[in-house]
Amino acid sequence: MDLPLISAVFAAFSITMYVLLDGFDLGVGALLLLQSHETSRNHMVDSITPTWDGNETWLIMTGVTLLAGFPVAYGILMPAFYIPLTVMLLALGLRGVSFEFRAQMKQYRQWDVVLGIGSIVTACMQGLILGGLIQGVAIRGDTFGGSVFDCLRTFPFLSAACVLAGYVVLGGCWLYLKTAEESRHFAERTLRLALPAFLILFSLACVTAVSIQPEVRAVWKTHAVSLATIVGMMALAAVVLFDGIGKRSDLRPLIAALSMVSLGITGLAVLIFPNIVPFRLSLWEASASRLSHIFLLGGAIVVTPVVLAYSAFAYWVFRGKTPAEGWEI
Amino acid sequence: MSDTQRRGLWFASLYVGSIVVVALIALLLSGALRLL
Repeated sequence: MDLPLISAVFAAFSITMYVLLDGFDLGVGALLLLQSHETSRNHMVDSITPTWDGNETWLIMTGVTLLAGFPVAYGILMPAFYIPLTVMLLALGLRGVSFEFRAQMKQYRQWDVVLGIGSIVTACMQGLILGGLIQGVAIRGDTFGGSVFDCLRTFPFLSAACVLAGYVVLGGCWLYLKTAEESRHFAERTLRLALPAFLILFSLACVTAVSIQPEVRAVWKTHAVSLATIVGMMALAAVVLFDGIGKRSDLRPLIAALSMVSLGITGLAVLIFPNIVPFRLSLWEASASRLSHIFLLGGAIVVTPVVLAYSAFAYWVFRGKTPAEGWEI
Repeated sequence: MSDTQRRGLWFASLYVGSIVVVALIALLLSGALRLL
């Protein structure tokens, strides 16, 4: 059995779950900076309070899979992205602190600003990492051979803006589903601006990636049909999303946005496979021993259903519209 | 079919399959299919 392949599937699954689930609460956090009404901001925060921390479990699972299953890739990627990873972890911590402090200290304005900045910085750092991966990581032997500043170039910044816009779309769709009245109108207005912004940035990022990374160009030639199909389906999801704004179904925009982002990640997987360090190192070259994969996948088989179950339970308990007066009633 | 293509098909099937299964379970549990 090809254990490195199964571990890579698990890593891809975990990062997809993370982007889909934490994506919308990072988007809601970022949107706090654009909402001046305190009541609406409280409503927005209440919509993500029960589930935001559980969503981050998937990021930890991705990191652990990379460390245990592909230590060579971990050893290369960590130093390559020390700056965005460190800033991202600090920003995630800041978000956690602001969730707690805004509730305890009742200083909503100040802590909402901190929550908003933490969310934007987290999204941008993830975009920098994504951009850095696509532009290519320098390798010398089995170690990182570039500079920690390599990821601070034009393309990673474009990718950061694209990821932020994508998360704002997800956040807008979440608010559209979970809130009513003023917050829902706010979500509608946001989506009408954020979706075109995301599509423009995404198109720009695709064109730039093709021009700066010859390997991306090569994959577009060898997998033209599958990549074109994915892009076409993304466009279709975007049309369904845009058409659903302001319509009766609260859920349709969110499902369309989740489908659009999932398809984007699938396209990325097509670009990168069979490598784990894009265009440089394959899954099998970076793989740990067979015993490590058995240990890792054994843990994943036990932990994944538990995480899925408690996430499902949390979403089910807090289903429906978020009450205007919050959940603590 | 080359070895990389065969592995790619396995990867794609397992990855897309796992996401679709989770999505379907989520939709069924939430009763969302009725809301669409």
